Amino acid sequence: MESLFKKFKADRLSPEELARFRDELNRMSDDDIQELINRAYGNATDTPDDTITEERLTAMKRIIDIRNGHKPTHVRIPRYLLRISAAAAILIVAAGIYFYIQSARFGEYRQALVRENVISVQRGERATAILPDGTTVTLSGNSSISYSLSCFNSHSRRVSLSGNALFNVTRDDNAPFFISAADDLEVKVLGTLFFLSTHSIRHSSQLYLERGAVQIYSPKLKHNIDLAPHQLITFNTSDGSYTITDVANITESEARLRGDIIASSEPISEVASRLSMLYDRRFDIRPRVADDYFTGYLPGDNLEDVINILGHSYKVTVHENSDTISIDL
Amino acid sequence: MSELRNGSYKAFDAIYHLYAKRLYHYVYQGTRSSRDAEEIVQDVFVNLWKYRTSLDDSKSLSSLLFTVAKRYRINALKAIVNSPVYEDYVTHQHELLHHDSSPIEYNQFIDQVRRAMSTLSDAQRRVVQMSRFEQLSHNEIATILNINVRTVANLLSAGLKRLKIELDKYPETLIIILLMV
Repeated sequence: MESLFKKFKADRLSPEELARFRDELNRMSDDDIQELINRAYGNATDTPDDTITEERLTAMKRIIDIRNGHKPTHVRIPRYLLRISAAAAILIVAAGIYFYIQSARFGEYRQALVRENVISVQRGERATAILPDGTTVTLSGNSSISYSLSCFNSHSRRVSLSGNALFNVTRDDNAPFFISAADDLEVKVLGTLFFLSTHSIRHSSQLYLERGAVQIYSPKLKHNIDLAPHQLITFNTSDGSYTITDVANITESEARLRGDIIASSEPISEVASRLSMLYDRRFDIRPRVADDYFTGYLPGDNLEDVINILGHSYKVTVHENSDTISIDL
Repeated sequence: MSELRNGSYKAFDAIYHLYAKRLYHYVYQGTRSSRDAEEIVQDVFVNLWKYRTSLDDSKSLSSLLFTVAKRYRINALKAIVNSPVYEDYVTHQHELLHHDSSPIEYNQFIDQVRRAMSTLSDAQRRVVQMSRFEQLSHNEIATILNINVRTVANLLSAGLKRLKIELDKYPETLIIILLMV
């Protein structure tokens, strides 16, 4: 058995040896397996087979932070962000108070149960809400989510979304989580982490799944689409066409979860209109030639970084005033 | 550790920097796949934060983390040895050695399979994904997709055949890339 494990360790098992290794292993107790690995490696963990780079460690930490619902503290928090989070907090508290007063006034559970709760953020804002089942939803850029308490029961959980949101759905195999979005698109979830972005005007939706499993339904589809972890689907809700791509690199996964703008050879005018949607400022980008293209990541929640990145990559000065950001390429 | 119990994220950050790398190497011993190892390390730390208030004071943090990681490592080893994708890898590796080609690591193999998967048709990819990665039986796939079991078998064999053709191409592309450098 030890020699088989050594071969496994060196990626040198033959098909027959793998079959023997598998049979033996399945018969072994956990303690024996533990001993087998330890004997092969000697308790040391300092002679690694595979080294992990600092970059991947940092990226991994950021995904852990996102899953923990912890926002990294910036060294310098731009004032507008503070204002925005204050505004979002007031909005949520106000919604809470409104809801409380309303339900107290009528004094009837029924009313509260069927009342629709709406949480929304304006352009350039970001806010995290915790739903009755413990699911956390981080809304960004002109988005809203609505649900009523009666939709959260032991059989199913239902919300509707317009815009973009990062979902960390609490696992409950008995009560699947459904999200309805623009154009009758529906996503069924068991328990998972993913970013969903919908655009009713463009009839285009995107979903990036980090872990778990989701199923996508639409009247435009003949069958449901199952998505596997680390896959990104771009779905056209008007004609039902879609593409699935694998996101192999951890930096991109992280950017997808944050809702960054990810462009590969996209016309600069398109990038400008996506930025305007997110930040509620006009992005006036005048390209040198009519079809200038942009490739790269732009953060979805840090205007200063966006300006720096654009300025550096095109080696130009960016002019910023209260409502317009102008760049001459 | 008491700081962690009181909800200090700073303490959590410090623990991550102290242990993440060692845990990764520890777990990797059982899986041979960097993606799996990364996911396990993520799970260990997410759970550490989630259950921070109920941590046992009498144990050291390192023994706590490695006890959890030990279980993950054993399960990961069982999972990989029983997975059809790993079996495909071993067969592929065996053929490579037979033809005097240079062997590849499991990680490279997984990357190649994922790239090759994108050349399949939608239906083929779904069936291959369910059968190889999620380990569902033909019958289960047929029920989920609401198609005939025969169709599943046909899609799967066509998909796997196509995958094999794609995979066999790679040693050559690798050489071409090396020549260009």
